[in-house]
Amino acid sequence: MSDFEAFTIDDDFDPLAPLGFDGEEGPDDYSDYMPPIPDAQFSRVPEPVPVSPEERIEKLLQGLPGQRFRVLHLAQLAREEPLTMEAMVAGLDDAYPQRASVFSAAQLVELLEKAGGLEVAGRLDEAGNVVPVSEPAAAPAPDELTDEELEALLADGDNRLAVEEAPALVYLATPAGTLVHDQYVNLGNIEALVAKEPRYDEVYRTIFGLVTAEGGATMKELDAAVNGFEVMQEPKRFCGYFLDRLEKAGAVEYRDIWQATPLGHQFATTL
Amino acid sequence: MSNEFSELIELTRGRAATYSFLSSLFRLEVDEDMLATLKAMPFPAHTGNADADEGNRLICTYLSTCDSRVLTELAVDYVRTFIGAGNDGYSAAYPFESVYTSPKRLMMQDARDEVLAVYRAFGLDKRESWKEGEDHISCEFEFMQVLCERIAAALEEGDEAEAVRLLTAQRNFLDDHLCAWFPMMYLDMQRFPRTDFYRGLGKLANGFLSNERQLLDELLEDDEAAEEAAA
Repeated sequence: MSDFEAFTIDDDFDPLAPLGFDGEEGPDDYSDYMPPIPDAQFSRVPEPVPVSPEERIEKLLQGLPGQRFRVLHLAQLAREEPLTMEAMVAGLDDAYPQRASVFSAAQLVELLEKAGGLEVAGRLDEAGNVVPVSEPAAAPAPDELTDEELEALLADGDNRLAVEEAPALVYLATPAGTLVHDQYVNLGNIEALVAKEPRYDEVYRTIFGLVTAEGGATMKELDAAVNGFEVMQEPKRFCGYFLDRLEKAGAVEYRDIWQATPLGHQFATTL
Repeated sequence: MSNEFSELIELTRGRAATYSFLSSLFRLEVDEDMLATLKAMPFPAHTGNADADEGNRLICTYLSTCDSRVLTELAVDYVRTFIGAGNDGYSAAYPFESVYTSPKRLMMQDARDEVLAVYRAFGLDKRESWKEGEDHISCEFEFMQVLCERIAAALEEGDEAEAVRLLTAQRNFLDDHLCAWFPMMYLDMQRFPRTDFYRGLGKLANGFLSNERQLLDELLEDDEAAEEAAA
């Protein structure tokens, strides 16, 4: 009987010993229970505010600043053709190898789907074709279950139900997901950023020169290259200020070293 | 050992296994090992109880349609079902007898003292690792499992009187405790979960307890008739 979790056999049990109940208190010790929230009965749950998928995706991206481009990459992956969860996870891990994030690729797929950036386009049949998902998320009520469906669940006709392998669902980016992706992963964002502060053109050019080089550049190299510029002295700026902005615009990324993204490489050719 | 005893021992071992299964599902969230067990085990399709059949079907269908996120989904739903987010006593299917049998829906009330006395009367004490109240549904299921194991042991030794005593104790425990309050928790278990897994678990447990009550009546019927005749 070693599989009991709550009990152990008390061999020294004395039936005459006091039980030590917590409830042995006199009437004077009794105090009436007070509701923890005064006027709780007057509280009203506000009506839910309708939020569009674009807004939900935007909120998701704002809430996960460090994962922004990983999330957006999912919309890019599933833009053309529907992909299974395994393919999405493999594609994302391949593009953004992670060692430190608490967000697994599967979790990001789930978050983006919940936000409306991805949708289930169907499931894969045995031949590998995408077919519509006909079954609802919840199991049908007993009266909705036909005899054939019940029979299908019976394993080998021995009056038992067996758990079957779940169908492989495939995901496709929604129009909202594609739209938000294009808003963020956009050459125009980098152009606007650089054009906004023309006095720092030389700084940007230097940074792009370093991060687009083979192997990228370390923070130390970037600091040494631009912190001494005259324009950086008043107001006092450091390289991190520009890297942060470029990273948010999707031009550079940090992978043990600073390097340009494909978009950053594309922009660098226009400088 | 008579053939009748062998069948009864097998039946009792099966009952113990079901109590153990239910106890573990109510005790903690489903983990990888439990999920593998659930996926591998066959679920009876026709138990003779509509609730139990429906519960088995819901659990089986849910597990047949879930994807790789199932463990997280079930963990979230476990919290939503049994812990909840409110503090008004009506925000979850609280798995404690005291909540359903005390006027202000509080834990650690008379019901906990009563079941504790029953456990101690059968020489049971709680492990240090058990941090919940003794009137937790999982604890009560495990108590029934302990009694099933003892009934099987008594039958193996040919001690019919002890087996009858323990079966009577089980029926009394069902009447006084499990069957008296679990149907209320069962109703809450149809409201709070968002997965069919925990809805199904509620139905399965409710149907099983109903079957148990019927079975114990049938098992003890002959013995009681004999006692009445002797009196």
